[in-house]
Amino acid sequence: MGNKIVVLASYTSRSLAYIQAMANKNIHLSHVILFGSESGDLPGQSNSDILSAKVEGLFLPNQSESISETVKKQGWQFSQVDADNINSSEILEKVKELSPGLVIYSGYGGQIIRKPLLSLGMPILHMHSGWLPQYRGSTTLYYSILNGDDIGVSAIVMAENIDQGDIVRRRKYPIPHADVDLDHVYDSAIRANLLLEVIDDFIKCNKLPEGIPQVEDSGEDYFVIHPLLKHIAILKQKKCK
Amino acid sequence: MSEKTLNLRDAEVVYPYSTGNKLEDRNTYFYSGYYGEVFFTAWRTQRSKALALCEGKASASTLFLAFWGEDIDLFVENLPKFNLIETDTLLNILMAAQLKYSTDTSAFPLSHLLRQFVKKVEVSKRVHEEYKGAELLIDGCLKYHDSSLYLKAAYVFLTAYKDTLGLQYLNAFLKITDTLCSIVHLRGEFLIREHLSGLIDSETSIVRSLIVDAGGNCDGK
Repeated sequence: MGNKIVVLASYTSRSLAYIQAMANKNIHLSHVILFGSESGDLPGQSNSDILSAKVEGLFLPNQSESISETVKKQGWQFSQVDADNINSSEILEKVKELSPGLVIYSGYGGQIIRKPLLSLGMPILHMHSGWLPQYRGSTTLYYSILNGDDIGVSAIVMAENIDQGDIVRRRKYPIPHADVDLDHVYDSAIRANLLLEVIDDFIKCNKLPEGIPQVEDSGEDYFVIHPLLKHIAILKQKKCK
Repeated sequence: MSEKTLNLRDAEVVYPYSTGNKLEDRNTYFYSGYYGEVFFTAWRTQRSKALALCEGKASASTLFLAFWGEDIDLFVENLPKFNLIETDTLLNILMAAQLKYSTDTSAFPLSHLLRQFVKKVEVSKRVHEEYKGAELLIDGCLKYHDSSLYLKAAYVFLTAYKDTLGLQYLNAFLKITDTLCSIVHLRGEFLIREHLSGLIDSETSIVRSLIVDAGGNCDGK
């Protein structure tokens, strides 16, 4: 397996942020597996440009350049898998064939990686938007804002229980300015920001940093935020700056 | 569209979460749109539509079967042995435990079960009439049409939020209120019509307070 890095990415704004952030840092990727459809309508996909202010210190992707275009421009080897479910046999076989030392995962919202893929033996890295273990689950960025907490990102090695894998690295980020889109832009950018740090460690040491196991039953599980609470969180965001 | 006035058709576009039968055509809530403060107007408009169908204001106590402390202890002791758990019993026990101990204390004996129940309802958007084992597996159960269970779940989530201010409970409560509002018009849903106005009142009070704290304006009221 060695130090080969494979990215397993759906066509989402998050994947765009990851791919372009890595391209910007000239990171060598052994292979990129793109799955699903570029013009699909799955959670995390946006088929129109997202208006957002810039964020100082954070790399934001060029939305006019697609994931495929960036991958080709970088000269990375890539495969396109039509299946849009991460647990498809085609994806499993492709990852097996490539036998990477590290898989960086960026999937469609709501999909959960199952045992066959998790059992291949290589670490599958997920950048969870949320300070673990306190903020497990979905859309935790909004819950953090509502609770008056900083926004967090946690790099974890995926395990069978959602968001309960070993924590490799965590970082807190400030609530951004009101003109910054939270869902697609900021959320993706902060995940990509921490991802680069973790990849840097992996490249230097040929392995991920030692992870910290999470204590079972610690923290809270959050679920897709109700639009009322989302609107209130954005009100708070506007009040902050 | 004007912020202060919103016709029903526009309100349904901005706040579609209680339109149609949400038991069958379930909400996903993923990447929901942002509309600014007109969203709150749309929410109020949609809730008013449901309120117009309500009759009276029954209280939670008329819905729940009373359980005593010994029953709660017995349930907790036997929980690992249960193969099937009837949701009606589960919700009665949860409410009894909330009233006896408050959800917010370490004495509350059913924290894990409550969290599991929140998870099941959040993921499936339904309240099933029975679950398998202490982990509340749905296991193919197709019985999810009992309105009384949705009402009871709403009260349990509301109580949990009031006790703990845990947003995960408020989130579940808002979603179940959407579902209740979407089916209140159906034939035979008398129980919903008796309880929904009280639940909407509680929801409105909580949401207004959060909006004001966040520096917003909820429909000028």
